[in-house]
Amino acid sequence: MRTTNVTRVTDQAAPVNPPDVELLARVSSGDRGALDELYRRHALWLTTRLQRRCGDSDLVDTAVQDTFINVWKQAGKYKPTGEVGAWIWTIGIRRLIDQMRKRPAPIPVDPGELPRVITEEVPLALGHTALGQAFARLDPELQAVLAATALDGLSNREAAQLLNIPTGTVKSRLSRARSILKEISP
Amino acid sequence: MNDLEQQLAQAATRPQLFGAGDIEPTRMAENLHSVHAELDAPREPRLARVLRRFGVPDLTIPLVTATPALRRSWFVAVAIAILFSLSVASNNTGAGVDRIAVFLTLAPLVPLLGVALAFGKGVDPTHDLVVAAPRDTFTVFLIRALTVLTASSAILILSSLLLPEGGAFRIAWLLPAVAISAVTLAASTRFDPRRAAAVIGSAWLVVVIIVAGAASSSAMFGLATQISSLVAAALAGWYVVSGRERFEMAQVDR
Repeated sequence: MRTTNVTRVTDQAAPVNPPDVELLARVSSGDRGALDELYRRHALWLTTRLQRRCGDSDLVDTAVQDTFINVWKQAGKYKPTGEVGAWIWTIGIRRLIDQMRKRPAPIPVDPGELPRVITEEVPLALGHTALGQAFARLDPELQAVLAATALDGLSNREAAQLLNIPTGTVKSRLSRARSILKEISP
Repeated sequence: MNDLEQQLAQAATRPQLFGAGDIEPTRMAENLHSVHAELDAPREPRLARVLRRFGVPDLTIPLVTATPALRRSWFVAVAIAILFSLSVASNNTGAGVDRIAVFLTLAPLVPLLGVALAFGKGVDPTHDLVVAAPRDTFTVFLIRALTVLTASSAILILSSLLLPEGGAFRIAWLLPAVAISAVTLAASTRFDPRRAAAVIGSAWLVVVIIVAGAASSSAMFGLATQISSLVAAALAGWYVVSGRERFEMAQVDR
């Protein structure tokens, strides 16, 4: 599954296949075509993943647009420490949280969507290992908090906004999850 | 952080591996289109962004920002005029109100000038558009005039604070200024705004010179003047509102 995805991503690239970092450098010098190529490579997975975290596709679309507007404006500030995709993700998930916060009555993660993060993304990350089995045995609300902080890379406060729960609840659920995990696999 | 969280965080460094997409291609294309549209859109003037933040309706914003009298050149002219009268005020001999009499006399003319130049054929590059627009011309004129009155009064109030003395008299120009501008607005429903402004501005100067010469500056800017300014402003305001049809016709005729 993972390898097929990797092939798909690279197969889509232009014949010259410039790496993302090079595209980003071209974006920072004002190359609109390079932005289009980055969008072609990264917008689909970004939209898919944000959609799993927010039921409202209007908010997701705005967040995706804001993300690439940000990429256009901030390309020069990118530090080549990690993958460009990871950088785009940190922008995207925060733009999504911004959008959710702007709503007078924030639309929480659709109960139908949240498990998709847990059922589709976490197993990919953990695989059929002891860790995967340990995760599966946790309460869904503990799983959601672990996914938001560790997999999505959010701070406790941001995770609280994404999941529409108080920050204190994130902290307490996180420590509960950790102590349970310690018991299961010391 | 435990093994599980580390494993998740490790996976997070390649976020694209989790996004086997089931999003429609048209939606993807539309989002890219919106990104381009946003990047191509001309940047709004700073004033427009400030107004938007204060909740001014979208339709009103271009009317305010396109007000000719709000251009930088006008602001520079106003600033020079104010500095001039401030310097006269601080060099003048005498005490109290007399020292700031020049400022009090000239200050009401600043918003008046602004109102005269806020709207009208030959001054406003958007005039023909405004007259032809589905929005009524009168509302546009009022928005423009109020914009200029607010902007110039703000400048004047700030400069009043710089006056060396005068106490409460330092803002004694405010009500006369409102009255003069309101009377000009009222006259503009019948006559050319610039001609009306010139006549009323001159009348104000004549009155000040006569009254201040016969009595004193403190009499000129005293309670009687404030009250009659208020009355004049109210009457003129009423006349303006009741005269909106006269105004529309006058614009079409001109």
